[in-house]
Amino acid sequence: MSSATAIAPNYELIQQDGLETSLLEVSMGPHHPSTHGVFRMDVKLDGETVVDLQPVFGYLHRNHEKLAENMSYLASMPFTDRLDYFNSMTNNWAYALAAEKLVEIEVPERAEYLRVIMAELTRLVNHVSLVGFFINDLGALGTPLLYAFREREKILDLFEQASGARMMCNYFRFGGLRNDVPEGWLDRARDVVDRFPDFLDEYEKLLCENEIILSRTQGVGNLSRELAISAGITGPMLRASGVNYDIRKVDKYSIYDRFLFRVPYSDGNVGDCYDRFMVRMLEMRESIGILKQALGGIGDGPVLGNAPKVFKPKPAEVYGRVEAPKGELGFYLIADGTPKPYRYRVRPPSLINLTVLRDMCLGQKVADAVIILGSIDIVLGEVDR
Amino acid sequence: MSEQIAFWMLSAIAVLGALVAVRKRNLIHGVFALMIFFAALSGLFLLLLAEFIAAVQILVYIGAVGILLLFAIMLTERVTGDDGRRMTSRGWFWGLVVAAAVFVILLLPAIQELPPPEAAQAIDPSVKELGHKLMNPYVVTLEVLALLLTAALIGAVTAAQGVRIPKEEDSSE
Amino acid sequence: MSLDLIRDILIATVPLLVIFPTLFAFTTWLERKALARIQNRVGPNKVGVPLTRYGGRFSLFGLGQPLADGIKMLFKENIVPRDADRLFHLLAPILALIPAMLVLCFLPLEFPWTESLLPVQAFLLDGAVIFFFAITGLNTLAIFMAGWASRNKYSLLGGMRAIAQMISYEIPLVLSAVVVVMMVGSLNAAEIANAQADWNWFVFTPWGLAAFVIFFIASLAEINRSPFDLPEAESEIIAGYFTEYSGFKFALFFLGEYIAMFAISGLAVTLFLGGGAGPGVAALPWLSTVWFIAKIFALIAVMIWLRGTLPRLRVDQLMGFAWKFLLPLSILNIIVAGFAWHAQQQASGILKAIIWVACLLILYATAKGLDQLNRPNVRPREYKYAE
Repeated sequence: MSSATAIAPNYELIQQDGLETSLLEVSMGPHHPSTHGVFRMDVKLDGETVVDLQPVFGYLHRNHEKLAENMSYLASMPFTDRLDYFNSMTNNWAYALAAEKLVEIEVPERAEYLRVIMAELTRLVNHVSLVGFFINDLGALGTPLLYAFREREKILDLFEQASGARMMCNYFRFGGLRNDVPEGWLDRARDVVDRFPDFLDEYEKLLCENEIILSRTQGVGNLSRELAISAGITGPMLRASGVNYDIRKVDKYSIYDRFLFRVPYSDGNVGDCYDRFMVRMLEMRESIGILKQALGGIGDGPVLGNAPKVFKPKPAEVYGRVEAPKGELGFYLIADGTPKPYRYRVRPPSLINLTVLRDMCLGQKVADAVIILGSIDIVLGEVDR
Repeated sequence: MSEQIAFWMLSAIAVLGALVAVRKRNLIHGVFALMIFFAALSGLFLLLLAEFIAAVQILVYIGAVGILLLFAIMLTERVTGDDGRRMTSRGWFWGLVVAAAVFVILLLPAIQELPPPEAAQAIDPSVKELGHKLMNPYVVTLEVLALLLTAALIGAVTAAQGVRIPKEEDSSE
Repeated sequence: MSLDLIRDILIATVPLLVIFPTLFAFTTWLERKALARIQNRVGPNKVGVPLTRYGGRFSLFGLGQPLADGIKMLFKENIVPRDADRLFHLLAPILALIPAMLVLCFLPLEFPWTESLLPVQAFLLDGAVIFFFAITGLNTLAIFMAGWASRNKYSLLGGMRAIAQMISYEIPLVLSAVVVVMMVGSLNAAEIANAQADWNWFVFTPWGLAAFVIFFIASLAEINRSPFDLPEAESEIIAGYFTEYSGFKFALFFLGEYIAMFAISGLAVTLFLGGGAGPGVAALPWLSTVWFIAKIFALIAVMIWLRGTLPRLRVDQLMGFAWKFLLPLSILNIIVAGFAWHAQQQASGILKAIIWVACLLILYATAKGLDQLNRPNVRPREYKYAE
């Protein structure tokens, strides 16, 4: 297929020849090995070619936003863990950032450093397992995934030592962190970070120039720069389409202006699955750079600022956002002077990145639809909330 | 003795398979019954020590023709044949007459003039002999047949493609 | 029918029906273990002797795992979809197993205890190789039957993929075997194996090597092994044609798949790797059986290795590879082999070496050229960085 966004050219040709063929409608999901959770794609197939695709979601809807509007601000912090359950740390951060804007709390420096360290470790966790899942969708028998999980375990151990939980960390508080990291944690973190590049070298050597991976991913699921911008795509997916946009650079929130790091992005010619895969591989290297600087520059001090005992902000509207591993994660809060938010809204990167799924899949093969979905990087906890 | 038993068993299977193939409403069942018939036929060839023909029977008729039929059936609707339409056409009587006539005219003389068993013994049915025969006296026949098949193949491709509507952007894979 | 004949038939066939399913059980263990090691896991290591009190005490590297798996499969519920074609749903796994088992008897496997008996082994058939291909092709039907009878769209897609793939890859498979048949001048498997005694294995000739590589790749597709496992591509169509199979029917499919793996590896060994030839066979004739099975396992080890490391191809790439790469190469290989073989009959010594090198060069250049022609325009890319 020459272009992905046009309706499959073969399909029209068949109709013109007077041969009546009927389309095969397949409901892929919600129980399907590679829809990454309870997601469904209603696919219309002409042979193996996708001529129509309708994403169906909501199977994991848990009423997250309404729940949060009926409890105190701090009480919904653990619920944010459950949004994108791979990256609870960045979810916490985005929410804390929004709440801190409501009441102007000073975050101590050590807490800022630890926040950056946690967020970048989270980014490593997310990208490394995403790449594993992606290659799994390509049909490798879980080997890259299990290599990735081996590294992920090391980082999850760090999370567990710091927060007590491996995935649902609930570690951030308004004005800092719940507790300081235990003694020796920073050394262990340095050890993990120092060894990570070796793993990345091995991973890149095995995957990035593999002939089958190249021919399966290049030219598949093209997302043009214009469509990506107008659909509000963010994160690695936007950068893979050739837009240099990273909230860490744009907002310079927290202390990201103190670190030297680069933002990889493609030249925007294609924006296919390979670009999305590679941008994530390259981002991991940059995260390691940030981690090394942060672990080197971190000083002593408190980790929790003088947050008010009762969190009761004046009426205001705020929007706090971070560069989560999957894209722009934002929390929009409207305070009405009570201890509960009047409106609590999440801008989930997974859901918004998913909106272009149909455009990318039309005209591709059904096997491509699976890897396109994989390359978007969704987590259903965040899509459905 | 054992050859006799095998012959009757295979013949019964072949006839049954052919009958089922004709009578079954479900097209897929019909095709598989047809394949059973082909398999039984190949068994009969084996009994005649014509093992190469038997192998080719399986290879061509079950492996190729049968699968082609399945492909064709997959392109049609009403595979299971659950609509109560008639199985027999109105001219079934004349069909029977024609079948009987073909049997009498073509097959009876052949059965009556069977070569004596001694002559059958003299034939060497080995693959090598077949190969030599195909290359020496029958080479022209073989080539003409091959040409005919190629022409049929090209014709089928042309017919299947139909009239091409000119398009600016010819999709290339 | 004489009793002797029945006895001889039993002695010749029962070993096949006992040895290969046993090897199948061992191979599932081997595959799980090897894949586990590739993936930084341990693999099955707990089951000893199932259903006894020694189940967990003597684990023996988990060698009891296949037995436990088999018992589990036997006791599982047989689930048939409501709209399925019940008869075909039942017949398909059986039909998948029969051809796989049947072709085993065309392999020139001689067991030591059959020597003194009447030679009833079917491999003495004149056209064993062509029978092998004819009967392996029946496997396609079983897969289509399963895919169609399940009334499941994934199954149907898997069945259609299987047919298209197996028909396409059968052609290079057969054409690469033709080279060997030409060299020996016989379709008889035993003769082909005997022609390769004294290390005259066909894989050691340029055309034989090319044919072996083509044969091996095509056989991977023929038995649905990674990276050509599209009919059962888990990440795309759940489990393909056996999505709706459970319990013992599933086990039959599984068994059929592995037996087919043995059969096609066995044919590869017969055609290219010298059959049962190997060191020590002259002194101890029964070693040839051991060598034969060892060579089969060498090929299977490569298949397991590929499964652990390679992702899957897409359906159009799969077809393109068969028709645009393997087919022209195997046809050219036949021509090269024909000319070179006749040329080297007269030649000797240095001239023979020149012919061989020339053949290798021609085949290598053609493979490279076809690769360049068909290669999708893919290459690693450069990425920009923003400070």
